Amino acid sequence: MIQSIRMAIKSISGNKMRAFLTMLGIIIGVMALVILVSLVSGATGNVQATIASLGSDSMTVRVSDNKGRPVTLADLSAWMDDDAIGKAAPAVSETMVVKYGSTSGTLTVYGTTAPYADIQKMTVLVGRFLKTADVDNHSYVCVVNETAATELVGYADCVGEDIYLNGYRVAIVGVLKDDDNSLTSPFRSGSMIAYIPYTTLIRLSTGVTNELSMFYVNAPDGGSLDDAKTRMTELLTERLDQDEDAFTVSSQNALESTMNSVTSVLAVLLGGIAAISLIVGGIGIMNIMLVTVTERTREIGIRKAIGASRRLILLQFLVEAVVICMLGCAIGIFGSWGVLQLITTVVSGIDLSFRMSGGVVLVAVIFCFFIGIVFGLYPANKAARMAPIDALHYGG
Amino acid sequence: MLTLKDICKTYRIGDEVVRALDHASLHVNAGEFVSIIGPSGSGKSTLMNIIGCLDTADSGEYLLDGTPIEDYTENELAMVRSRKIGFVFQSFNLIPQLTAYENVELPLIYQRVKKSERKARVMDALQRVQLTSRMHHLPSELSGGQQQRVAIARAIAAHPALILADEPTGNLDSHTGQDIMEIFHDLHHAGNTIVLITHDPSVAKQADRAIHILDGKVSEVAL
Repeated sequence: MIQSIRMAIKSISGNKMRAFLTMLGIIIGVMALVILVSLVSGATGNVQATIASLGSDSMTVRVSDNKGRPVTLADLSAWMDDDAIGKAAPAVSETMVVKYGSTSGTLTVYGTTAPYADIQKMTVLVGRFLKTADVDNHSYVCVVNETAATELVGYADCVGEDIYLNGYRVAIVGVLKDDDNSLTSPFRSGSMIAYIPYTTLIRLSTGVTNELSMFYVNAPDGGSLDDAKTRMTELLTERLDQDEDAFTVSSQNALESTMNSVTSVLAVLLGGIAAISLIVGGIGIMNIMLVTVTERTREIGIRKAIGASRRLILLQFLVEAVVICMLGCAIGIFGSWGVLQLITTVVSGIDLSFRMSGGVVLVAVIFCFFIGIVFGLYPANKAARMAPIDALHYGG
Repeated sequence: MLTLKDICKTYRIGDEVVRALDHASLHVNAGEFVSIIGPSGSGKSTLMNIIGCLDTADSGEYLLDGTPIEDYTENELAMVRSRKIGFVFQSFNLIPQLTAYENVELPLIYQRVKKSERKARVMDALQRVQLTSRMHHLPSELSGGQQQRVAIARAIAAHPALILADEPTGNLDSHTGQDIMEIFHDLHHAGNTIVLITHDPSVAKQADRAIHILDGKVSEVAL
């Protein structure tokens, strides 16, 4: 076996240019496979990190039929004491006319409670977020986002200023950092947002009551969202006459898993295309091996005359095909490592990392090996089947 | 050592049936140096293929070193070639990518001889043809006579029962040819059985015995 490999390397190195051209198909195929799959998995990792950063530990609860037992702010406070549940906060939005001095515009007002900032991972730029006391006292205070502060008041540090919402005077107590990472940020960017106590919104707006139809819940520190989700479902099922259709509990985990399945389909698809190019490369190898067998008919005759059995001739040509494949595979893997390094350097600004995954390298190596065997078998068998006298007198 | 009895072999070339061997019988004793002489087209190549187990006869008996060679599969024939026969061809038939040493070593690799023993046998064979100084050269770097000596070394390294030479001097000038014949004489004196096929009477008569072949029929000729 070692002898066969040495012989194969010898005969390949005897014709380097041809060997390289033969390998080219495999090299390109391997590079396509490794690079494409690595790019997809790199991008997937990035998207997943983004999803995780925008709070995949929170869930949205919607109650469509309260069966005469509406959920109230008091219920949320009670549930927050549950070990499996972290924080809970309502969020009802209304579009309102806003005025500050002579400036006016429309603004989205969210009626919510103090825990909302934690659940949505908001960052307070100046001042503070809403407090439980604000909610209890129906205070006319609001927290605005950076956009609202700069567009309405003119500067971000506007704590203490008063704005008019639907004609009610409301004091600004805090300014929030604009959230660029949020999944919905592309749809909201540039829009003005204000957060006021839920209880205040009930007074400002006619459509809002103390019956909550939608609220956000997150997992407790160190707890899992799945546990919180299970507990929440339990609590609501019990409360709403065992009717599981009366409410929905959905989390961003669902989004993550959708994303996962999309990217894995993409990886399989691209990998499949690369695999096709590998097979084409294999056909190229078969072609050249057939030419080689014809060219070396005389050599095969000599080898048979001095005692090589069919099996040995078969092995010799098969090993040669596999060695060509594996060399091409090695060059391809090395080349794709270089290309990935290059891409990572070029896009370093976007904070994406494209690493070669060990899995895809293993797949490439195994695939190349089998291609060598499958496409080497036919030419090798042709060589092995040659009758020694015919082969010996060929061209001589 | 080697017995052929009523060997027949026919070829079909297009519509024509060529009777290459017609009830040929032949006997060669161990240690004998026999030449087979005949003009081209006389069937001597066919005879050589059958003796060399490169081909099998249509009918008749062939005993080589006590073993009947009949209806063997190709693999069994390869085994017989590997163990019992050393070929020397007119056109040398060395493998161009391998050095002289590697060419001589090849049949021993096929016989699965151990590496240390292989080395000893290759060196011994190369010494007997006086070519140890050029053993790391490729065939293309050797003269015709040297190439033929490598081929002889390859044949004897395998320790065959029979050395089968097909026009070994055919591609060489007469002086080099005589050198090669000297090697065959040496091998004969050392106890090897040699069958030499030629069309040249001056080569044939150097053997103990000459066998004439014409139109597929074999007859012994006195020299």
